[in-house]
Amino acid sequence: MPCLNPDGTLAQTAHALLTALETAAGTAPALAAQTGMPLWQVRSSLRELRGHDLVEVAMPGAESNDALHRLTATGREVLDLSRRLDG
Amino acid sequence: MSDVPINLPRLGEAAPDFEADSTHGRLALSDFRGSWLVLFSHPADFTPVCTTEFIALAGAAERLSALNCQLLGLSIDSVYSHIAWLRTIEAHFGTAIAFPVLADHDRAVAARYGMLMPGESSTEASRCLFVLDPDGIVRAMIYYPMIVGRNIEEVVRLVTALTTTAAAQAAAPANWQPGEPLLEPAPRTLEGAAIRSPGADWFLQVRLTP
Repeated sequence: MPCLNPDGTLAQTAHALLTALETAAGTAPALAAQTGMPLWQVRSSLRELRGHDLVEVAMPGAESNDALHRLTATGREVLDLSRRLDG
Repeated sequence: MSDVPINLPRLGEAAPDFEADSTHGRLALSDFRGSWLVLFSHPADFTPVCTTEFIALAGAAERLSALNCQLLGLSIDSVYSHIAWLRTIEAHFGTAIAFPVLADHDRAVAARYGMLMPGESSTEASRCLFVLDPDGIVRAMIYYPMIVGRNIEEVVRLVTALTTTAAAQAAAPANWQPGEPLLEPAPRTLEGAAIRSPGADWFLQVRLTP
């Protein structure tokens, strides 16, 4: 699922993943279990979120799709902004 | 036509990798690693046989999911066409299509999987279906002509048989149905044949315990 809606707001899946990563880093399988999203969808979304610099691999060099991911400063900022927009 | 050479995947070999747009965003084959995958092509959106197949596949999705098997569709249509068609199916037939559908506009994936049959159509993919195991190895292939819809119950039976035989290290006989006995793999040595149960054919032995 594309992470950003056409109007630039966070898609539901992206919002759920960023929220899940807000308190602790997580792997794709762990995030799938936590959010209830299919694993393939989590992997695809993490790849896109990495492309937008909203999440990053926690251990540099470990670029595997199932590596530990964490929020970036931009990701945290976008998540906060998204919440403010949601009111 | 894409410049990608037309190949035909082979049983027992790694499925060709890809990354393509879909109704659920950009998807790569590796996104499905760890689960069985039914990757299938259909000739075109908004066509009658394909619509019946999608409705039948949606009806089988839960049973396939219980087998740790995901569905992934593909056609040489745009993602906008896919979205419009899936919304129409839901609106007119009451069936939500939850599995993703690849928009293989440049035919790059179709070419890698031998889904293009120029003798049938120069503009559409044929009805090709691949079952990939959790490591991305091709375990089964089904090719149907454009004019005949696939038997989705057979697809479920095939996936059930593949997952069951993989777990049991056994083989499935003709017309096998879930719950029925499996077959011992044929011995590959004289010594292996000699230790088969007496009274049974050395090469065809039903497994008595699951």
